[in-house]
Amino acid sequence: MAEVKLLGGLRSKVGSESVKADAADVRAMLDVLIEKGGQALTVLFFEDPQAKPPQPHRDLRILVNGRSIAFLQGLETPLEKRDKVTVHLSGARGFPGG
Amino acid sequence: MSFQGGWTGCVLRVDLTRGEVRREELDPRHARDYVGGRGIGARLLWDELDPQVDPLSPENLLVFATGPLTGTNASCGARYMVVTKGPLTGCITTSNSGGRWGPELKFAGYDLLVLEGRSSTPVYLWILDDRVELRPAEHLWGKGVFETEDEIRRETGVADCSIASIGPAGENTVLYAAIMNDKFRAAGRSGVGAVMGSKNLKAIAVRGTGGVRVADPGALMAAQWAQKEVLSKAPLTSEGLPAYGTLALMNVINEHGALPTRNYKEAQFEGAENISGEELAKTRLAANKACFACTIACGRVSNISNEGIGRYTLKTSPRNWHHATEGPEYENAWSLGADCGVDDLDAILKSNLICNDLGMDPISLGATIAATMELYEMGVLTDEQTGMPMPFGSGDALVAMTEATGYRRGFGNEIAQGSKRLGEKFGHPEVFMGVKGQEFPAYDPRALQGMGLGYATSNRGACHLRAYTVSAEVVGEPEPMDPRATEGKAQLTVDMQNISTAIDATGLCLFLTFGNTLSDLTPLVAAATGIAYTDDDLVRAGERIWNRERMWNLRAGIEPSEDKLPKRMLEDAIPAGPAKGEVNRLSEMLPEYYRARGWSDDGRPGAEKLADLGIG
Repeated sequence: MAEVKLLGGLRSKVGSESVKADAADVRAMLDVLIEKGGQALTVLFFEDPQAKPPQPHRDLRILVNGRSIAFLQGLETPLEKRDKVTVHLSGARGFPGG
Repeated sequence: MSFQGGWTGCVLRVDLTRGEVRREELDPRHARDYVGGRGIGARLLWDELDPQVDPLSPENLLVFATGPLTGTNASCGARYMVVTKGPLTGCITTSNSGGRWGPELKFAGYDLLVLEGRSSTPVYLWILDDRVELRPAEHLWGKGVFETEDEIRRETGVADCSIASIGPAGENTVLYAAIMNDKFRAAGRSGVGAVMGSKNLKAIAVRGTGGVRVADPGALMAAQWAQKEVLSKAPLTSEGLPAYGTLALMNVINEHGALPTRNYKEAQFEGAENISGEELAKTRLAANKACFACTIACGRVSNISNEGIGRYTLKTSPRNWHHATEGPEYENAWSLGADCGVDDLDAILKSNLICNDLGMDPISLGATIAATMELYEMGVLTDEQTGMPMPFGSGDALVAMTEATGYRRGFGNEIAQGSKRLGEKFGHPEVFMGVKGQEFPAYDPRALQGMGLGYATSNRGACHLRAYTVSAEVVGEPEPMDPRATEGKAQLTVDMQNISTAIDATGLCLFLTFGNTLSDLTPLVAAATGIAYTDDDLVRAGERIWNRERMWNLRAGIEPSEDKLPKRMLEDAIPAGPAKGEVNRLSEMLPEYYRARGWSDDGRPGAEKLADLGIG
């Protein structure tokens, strides 16, 4: 199972610092987190939770083995058992740092 | 052209050699073209300071410069900039601080304070509106920042004055001594505190009872409400920074494999979680704290844990401050922590507290201790030389050497010189991790290519605040850019340098850019000054200031060949972690950067570019 490390405020929202997720890809991994932390997480994870399929929220940041899924296959990035996943919420706007 | 608002139009000049105080008019054209703070300071140094001057000689100038928004009700309008020739680097240095000191200088009626010469005995400067006097400070010499502030408040009888002072590190000209204000806010980098110490100036206390006149109060009110609404809706400025401060970055950067560890030998720290914002919030955070007019409040007020008391206690320390200390910020926790291999948050808090009280830049201090630890583990330094075991990971060594450095005691006298001089003295210049004599901050440029270019081209030596490409490479704003790619990083760096320089000139804090764009800020500057600045005008002012700084450095003998990175960053691949195998590819970015700047192939602004910017 992939090891999912949660950062920042997401820890209290999910109720854990890390989660083991038996998931084939990142989208399925998010379903595991929602199952653990509740449906309220869907509005943090997806721009429109009702969309088919829902697209990642602009604040959602996910790394697979330290690499942003923005440079992999997005939510369809496949996960292997030994993968290390990091999930956090950015929340930055503007033009950070100028 | 006359001043309608924002600027007071008055420069206060103090000749410390003669003990004379003068008031001068600010040149309105300089104010318009260079905006304020960093900009007007750079212009003043260009006009008045011989770039070849010894930074610690009486001939060096020490300028405290506010911006047109300093002291207004714009969110984060608390900043002032110290501008001088830096002793650590030999470059023009521009070191920025918040708190309440800058606004008080404006309230007293001054845009800039220019200090020249050297007092024959220690003095402090007391400014109460029009009343400006130099007072004896022999009784304060040797005291820490906290005690100095308390004593000056007693002496002036003005409890709510704001004080910028140096500690023993500044007096002893530690090359990265800071100027501290409001006890915990720092103009930290490049040794501005050593310049102040070399002038025998212990402190500047200021209280102003006026306000800041603005050109269009109604427009300013509307613009600041709009600005604050954006900040209140951006999750990072309304929730993330108040909750975790900048220390939220510790785990994020570590997960990217970009956290420099043990003097940049590695890029992931096994102890990052122990020194993270999450850990601080869970176990030691007493409160968050804001600077003047700030609606973000990223500052930390922290306690040492119960476990740490007795080992690194605050409660029995003569330097305790209500049994708590401010900080640590991300950069400090990194330099005193991961860079030294220390995962003991209590040791970091204690070291950070000592830095505040003795007045030192924790980034350069921690990095120089890390270089010392590397030399120790190489066998170049012995216990006899250092006075104690100095392996990576030793919190005891970190705390002991922090104090020894501030007082230049024992091996602290070597650490006080910075890691470039330390490495050269002991025959291993390769342990210096920095640019132009100044140590790197907390992002490995092998993992984040853009940061390498930003470090290499920064006018004040390695710095993360001149072009924070982390925003695109890690945070993903304003749009994600692959941290391992070099494409597009040159233009990104130029854009960020120009914009951040412009914001520095306004008197605002760069952290508001985690919510605001430049377009949120331009109306504030226009309303305050009465000048119809556009976004492009401010970007162009940033470019003008950047080029002015560059030209000053060239005159000081800082050649473009100094736009470089240490060999370790260029040739030694990251050994493990997500960015394993990466080196920085500066040579791919630097020529493109020079072109994007409109400079010659060898990195010099040409006559055409300078004329275009109005630089004669």
